[in-house]
Amino acid sequence: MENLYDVLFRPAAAMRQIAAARMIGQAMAAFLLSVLIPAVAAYFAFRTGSMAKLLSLVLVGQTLGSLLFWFCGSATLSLIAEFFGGRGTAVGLFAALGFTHAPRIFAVPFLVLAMLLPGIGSTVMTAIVSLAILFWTLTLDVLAIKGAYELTGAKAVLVLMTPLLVVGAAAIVFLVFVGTAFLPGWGW
Amino acid sequence: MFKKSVILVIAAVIVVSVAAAAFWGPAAKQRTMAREQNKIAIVYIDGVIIGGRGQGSLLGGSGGTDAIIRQIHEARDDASVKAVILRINSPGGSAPASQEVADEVKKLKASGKPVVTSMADVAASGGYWIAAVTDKIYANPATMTGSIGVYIPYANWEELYNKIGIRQEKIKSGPHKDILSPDRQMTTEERAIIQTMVDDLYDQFVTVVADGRHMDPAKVRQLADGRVYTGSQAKQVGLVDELGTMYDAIDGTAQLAGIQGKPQIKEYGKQSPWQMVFGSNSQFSLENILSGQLKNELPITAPLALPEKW
Repeated sequence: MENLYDVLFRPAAAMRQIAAARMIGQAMAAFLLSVLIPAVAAYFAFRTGSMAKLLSLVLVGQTLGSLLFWFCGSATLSLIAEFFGGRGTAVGLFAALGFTHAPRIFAVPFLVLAMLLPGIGSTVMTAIVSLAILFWTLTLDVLAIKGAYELTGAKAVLVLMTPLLVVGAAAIVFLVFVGTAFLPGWGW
Repeated sequence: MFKKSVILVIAAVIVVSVAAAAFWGPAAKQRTMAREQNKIAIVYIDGVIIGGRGQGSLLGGSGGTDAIIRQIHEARDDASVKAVILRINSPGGSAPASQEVADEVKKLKASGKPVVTSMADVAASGGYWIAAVTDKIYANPATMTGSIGVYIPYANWEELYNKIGIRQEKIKSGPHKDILSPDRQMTTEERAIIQTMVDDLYDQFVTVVADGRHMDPAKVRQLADGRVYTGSQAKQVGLVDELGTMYDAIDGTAQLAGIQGKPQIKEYGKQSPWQMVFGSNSQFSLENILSGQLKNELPITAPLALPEKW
């Protein structure tokens, strides 16, 4: 519980400690709470008759997907951090990243409030809360990488963005290739 | 101790929220669903009316009436849609394509959903063919509409070919296989054949307008000399019901459909910026800009019975 408090209110120091101590068990518990609580709230809020089964499927899929992403993401980010000169362990990063999902829990009360608002208010509130949670989570991700691999803040951001940049560059190359392949031949 | 207290308070708030979601969530969802049941669908009909899938592009075909008919079917099958507005901004186009869309609109009306036309800048010829079968027509006073008529264009490039030394020959299976061929003068007999086709299409057009607008066919024929009317002129002669903008049409459609309060709008057929750049049916498409107007482009301002190329 104290680690959870530290992650929420003193994240930089907390991430360093968690990575150094490799708190896998606590990270798993924090991760499961962070994913399951919003999922359960969403299930209760949105279940309507025939949608209940489909919703359960979606939520189970989301939980398993998040778990897979946590595992594979840790491995990828660990490798990239080492390329950028970081010194640390993948297990430490894995533990730290487990706690970065904690802000999702805070979405629940705000989303309940959003449900009670009429019309556009509901949409606006949901959007604002989702964005805030996203930025908070990304900040914790950067701090986790920084704490686990003793990198500067800028390098930690670069490590986090590298997979996205690589995918983006590949997409541009692909589009250019496809576009040139479909250009009509010019004749006079 | 302090840290544990804070976490326990947060946990209590979360538990209360989850309980609240469990009790209030389904009710809130029902209210949202009830609001979302009263939708008015808007189907956009823009540009020249071409049948089939239209023209190909990097992102697939675009611009043909197949897409419009699919949207009409979606609106018909969507239980939350109570009425449909056709937002028409078209100078016309192919007669069979306009006819196909009009027939699908009639089936949509038969399913019990009111269909209303809102005319934009232009809703002439084929655009008016489609509008005529709807329950009510709104036009702006300056909208260009009417042009009830048909033409089949023919160009004779024989003299030009002679000037540049081109001589075309055809080995035909029948005397009229190359009817409307631009490399020779049309014969009197061929002109008569084409005229019967035009007359037949014109009769079909007049019937559609007479049935749709509940007018005497003789009166329609008087109005249908091919001329264009402004929106206000069209209202005076009974070709249009109301003068107003699209939002007036939305309000009127909501009344027709018995929707209380402000209706939700569901739009079909709006082009994304991506489609505007890469769609080949767009004036902004790279293909049109780079290759220019090298095709045999016929001026299409009225329903045609011709393929674009032969």
